[in-house]
Amino acid sequence: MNAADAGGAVKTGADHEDIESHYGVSNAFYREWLGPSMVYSCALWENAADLHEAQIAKLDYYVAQSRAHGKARVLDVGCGWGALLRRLVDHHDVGRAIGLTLSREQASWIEADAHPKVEVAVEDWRTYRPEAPFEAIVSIGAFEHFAAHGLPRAVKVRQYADFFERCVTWLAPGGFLSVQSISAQPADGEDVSRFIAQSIFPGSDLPTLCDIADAIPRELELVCLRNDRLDYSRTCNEWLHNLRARRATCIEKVGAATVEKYERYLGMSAIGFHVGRTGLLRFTLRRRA
Amino acid sequence: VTSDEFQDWLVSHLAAALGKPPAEIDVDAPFDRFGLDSAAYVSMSADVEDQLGIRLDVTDLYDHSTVRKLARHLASRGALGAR
Repeated sequence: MNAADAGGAVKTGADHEDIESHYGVSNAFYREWLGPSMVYSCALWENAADLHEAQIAKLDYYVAQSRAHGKARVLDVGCGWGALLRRLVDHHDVGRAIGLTLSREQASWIEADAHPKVEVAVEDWRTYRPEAPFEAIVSIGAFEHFAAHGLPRAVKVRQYADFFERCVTWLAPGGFLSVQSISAQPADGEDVSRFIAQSIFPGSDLPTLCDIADAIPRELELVCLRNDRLDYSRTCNEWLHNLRARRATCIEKVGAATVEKYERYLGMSAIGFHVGRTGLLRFTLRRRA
Repeated sequence: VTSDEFQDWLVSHLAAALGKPPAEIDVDAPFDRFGLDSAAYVSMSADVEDQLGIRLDVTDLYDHSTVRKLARHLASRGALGAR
């Protein structure tokens, strides 16, 4: 969907319906190919032997980048099925881990755990009002959904700036925000983003590195930036391999058309990261004290 | 499956997918010269997997981007027999 299709008010980013259309497909379906860790974002393959290890390494990387270890309150914007929230409280001595998601399916999954130190809210960061500041904020694989497909660039950058500015108000002085996002790296060739935007992630566009740089407010200082696109290529290959190996079971859960669409999407994504049409940015910002 | 048999199979497979006679498929031409889009690469990798009973990542088709190079790669992995 693009801004013009939304009708009435201009649509600025993915809404509940958009997010649910992707992430609410079926928890059981995702579990088949994401594996038990239920982490649906690029892994970190340095020193990892398999997908599970690489996902744990990724979670620990963001804990380290956001300096969240031992902190009292940590926020995860776009918390998925809660893997980072559980990692923070179970392995990193965090007092309270709070996650935001727009998917009710994901929130139910987390609530079913009833972890005393984990809290989840089905809420857009645009309307979220925390009761107290956070010492660290992480956002993994959500930033991609913050701007709608087809927005004028200035409006698109404004969405990212709005997110960063809110993080400034939620972060304690000196606190760290660490983000992972797919980025568009425009080049010649077919328009993969159109298929992704129309069929896979309705209501979303990808940021470029320039969009992100232009959106960072003066209160935040960049302390780390890396592009690990080959890590995402490998992660997509693993997911596609899992999906193919469990095709029959997946078809039972969501039907052949959806499985075929996901096979195509994961394969195209693997190619996009492999050839560099898309990047995988990991970056950390510090709120100036 | 020997390397030659695999190359013959892949040539027929590509010819059928492209609606061309197999004689027009050059085993040294990069796949992208046949006008394959990324969706076609995805199904091609799945078809090779089914044919050989092995794992083949779609990105391997970019790293080994002709019929002959792919056969050589698969042979080096032990997925194809000696010719």
